[in-house]
Amino acid sequence: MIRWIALFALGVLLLLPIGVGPYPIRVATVIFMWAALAGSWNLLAGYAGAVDLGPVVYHGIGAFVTAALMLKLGLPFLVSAGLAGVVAVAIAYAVGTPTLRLRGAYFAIGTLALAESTKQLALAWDRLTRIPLTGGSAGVSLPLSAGYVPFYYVMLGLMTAVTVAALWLGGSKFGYGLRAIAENDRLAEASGLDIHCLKRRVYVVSACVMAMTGGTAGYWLSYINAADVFSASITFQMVVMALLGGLGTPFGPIVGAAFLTLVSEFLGTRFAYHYLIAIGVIIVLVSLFAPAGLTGVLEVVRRRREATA
Amino acid sequence: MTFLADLIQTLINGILQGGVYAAAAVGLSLIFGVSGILNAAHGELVMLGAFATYWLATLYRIDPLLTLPISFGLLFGLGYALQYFVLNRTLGRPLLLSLLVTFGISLVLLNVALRLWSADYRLLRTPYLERSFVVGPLIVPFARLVACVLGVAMVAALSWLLASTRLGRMIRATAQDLEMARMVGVNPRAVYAVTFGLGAGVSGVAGSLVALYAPVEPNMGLTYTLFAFAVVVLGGLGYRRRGVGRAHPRRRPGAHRNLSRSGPVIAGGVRSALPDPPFHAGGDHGQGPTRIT
Repeated sequence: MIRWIALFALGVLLLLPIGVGPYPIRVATVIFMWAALAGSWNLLAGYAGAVDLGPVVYHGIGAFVTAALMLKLGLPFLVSAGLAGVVAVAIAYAVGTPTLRLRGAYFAIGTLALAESTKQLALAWDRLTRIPLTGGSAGVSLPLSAGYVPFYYVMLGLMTAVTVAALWLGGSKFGYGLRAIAENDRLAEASGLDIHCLKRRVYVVSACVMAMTGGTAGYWLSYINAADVFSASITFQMVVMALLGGLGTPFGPIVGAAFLTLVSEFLGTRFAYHYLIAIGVIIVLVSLFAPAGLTGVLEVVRRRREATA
Repeated sequence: MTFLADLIQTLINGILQGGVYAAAAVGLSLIFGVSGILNAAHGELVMLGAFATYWLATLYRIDPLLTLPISFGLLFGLGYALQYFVLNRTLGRPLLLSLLVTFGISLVLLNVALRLWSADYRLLRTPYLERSFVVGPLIVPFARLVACVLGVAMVAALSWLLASTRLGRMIRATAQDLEMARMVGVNPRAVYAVTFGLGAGVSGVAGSLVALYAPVEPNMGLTYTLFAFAVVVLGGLGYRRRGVGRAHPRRRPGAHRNLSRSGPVIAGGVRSALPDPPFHAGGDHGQGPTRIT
């Protein structure tokens, strides 16, 4: 049932740019971007139980690799973004091999530290290596892009890909393996799962999607700098959206991203100075009173209706 | 010769900075070790402590060093109330939920501070702290020295409190074995509230120490959250992950050095609880984010 609704919604979204003006399309693109980021974070944290607090690394790498390929080699945008995904896969494989052995909170804090040191490395890259890539703190300007509709479709595609992946994890043997790791990784290992390999696969896939999203966002904004694209606040926003929507659910990140973006948009235009206070309060309230996220609320309502019917 | 002088100067700066970082990190470590709460609002507590000192010294002409206890008291009250009214509701839930709640709290604190005090940088001027000891080519700024010494002293005091007082035993007991602590009459909710109060108070004092020598502004918090997280990893895991710290070769030597100072605090009871924070029941502690129910 919910899949048919989702499919229908996808169809509507595909046709949306025909009917509406630039502003709603841009807001929708922002939502898709965050849904893709939060969704790919959700693949690892929600399904495999490994809380990564440094996913922004791949967002930043994707942005800079895309920019470098477009500016230095003159490759078209889509090819650059795809190659940025490939680069991110290689880096994530190398990084994930040692870091994914950390457990629980140590993995979270270790990846957070990794993200911060990557940011500092990116800021100092040009000075250290004499290979101009990140532009130091001045950043890199990308060529101006043609229109806003292509970004809408790219972001929609990325979000759809992540959601399909999450749906597949929900019912496949691979996904059950991940959930076994999340519930009790030692028992999962004792039952013969190669937990390290499983986690690394998910890590690599989520890094790939984040890099492509980061590259697209960079080209969309046409300006990137290391402090912004590696900012810990991007990580926090991904995490908050995934948790608000519902961790470990395929549509949770989309709901969370849409909710937070729309609330910010709505409150931000009316109460420019106070809206972040309100958002903080909303986050606290939702997490206290709906700890399973907004999709969790829907689930409870649905069950109750089934129980009474 | 200048290279050697630079090296020693760098070491001095690192050590002086490290004392303050140890003070700024120990609160996060304490709270995480005892209550299993990963406090994303940690840096905002540091920021509030810095502003407490700034305003008390500017508006009421109180000597900045005398504002430290007031800063501790204010932040203790705030921390106690936060844990008692908000965070105690997240007990028994996975680690991530506390991260989400404290993130919301940090947004509120940061933006209230921005609203009240604007994003301006404010520097506290204290004439008697603005001197430096000059030994040959080496310079030791007096304010930083005072901040470092007081920071280390505070960490030592906290360590003593945990090791040798009745309250410290109650906190350690709660961290080590919740069920047993309950059996012998410890009220964990009250202990968690006091622990968060202590952690917040210590962080506030660390902020006050920062205000002695650096400008304060509402956005300073995130840096301290990240540093504290990093220091907890380094302190909690021993020295195995030292490589992570190489991003800041200029500043980190101090952080490393003074970890051994915060080590006793962590080792003195809290550390034993660090790998397995309480309350994440289920097969693997601290790892059940899919089970936010």
